[in-house]
Amino acid sequence: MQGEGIRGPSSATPGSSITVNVGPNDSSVSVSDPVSQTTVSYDVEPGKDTTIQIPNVPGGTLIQVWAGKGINRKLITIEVVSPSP
Amino acid sequence: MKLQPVYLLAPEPEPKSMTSRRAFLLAGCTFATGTLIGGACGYSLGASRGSGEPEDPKKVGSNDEVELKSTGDSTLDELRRLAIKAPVGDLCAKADLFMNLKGLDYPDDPVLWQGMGRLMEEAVNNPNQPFERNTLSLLIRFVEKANPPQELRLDRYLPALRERRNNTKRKD
Repeated sequence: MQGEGIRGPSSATPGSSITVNVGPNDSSVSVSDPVSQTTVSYDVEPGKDTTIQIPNVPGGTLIQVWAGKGINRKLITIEVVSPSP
Repeated sequence: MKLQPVYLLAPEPEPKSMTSRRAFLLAGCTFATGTLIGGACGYSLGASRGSGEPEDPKKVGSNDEVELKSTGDSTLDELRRLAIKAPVGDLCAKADLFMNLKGLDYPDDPVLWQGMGRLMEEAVNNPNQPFERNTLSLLIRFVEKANPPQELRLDRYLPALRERRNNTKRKD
């Protein structure tokens, strides 16, 4: 668990689902790779656990799950790790 | 008629001055010595200041005299302040947020790239500054994949960043 306002794991496998908990003031959460500038957004129920899918990206990619605007944005950074064979 | 000797006072002979040949040689040696010393000093000064490489990115725009003009975007203004004017500890504390906004909303802002350089320099040079493994990995990916400005030479931090990242345990 990490971050403030959003809680979730710090690593996940490609295509898997993770549960994140957003704060009470957010109605949507986004999953982004800030390096490649790709974003997928999900509607969420504020304050409740939400299941989101980790994109199918190569292992080693860092994605960020975030909610909120501007400098008050809350986020966690997740490393996508390839499943061990 | 009787002749009597008369003694006249002659002026003292002047000390023999240096021959013009010796004077010429001495002046030549002095000039050559001065040229050598001056050349050596000039070379070392020039080598230390202008080696043909850009200045340390930390120093480019990171001093207190830099006046940041408002862009009309309060978020960008705050990010720019964090990037080059705020204490580096403040920047490090918000590193993930800084990279998120920089990457998604202001990918080409040159001032924010300087902030990335400050983050990397701190991560490399200050082992007491806490950085999470994922933050270090994200810094590395920005250098590898996001085409940072060449003049900042951020790729020089990569080996040390990777080493610190590999020595930092994942936090779960």
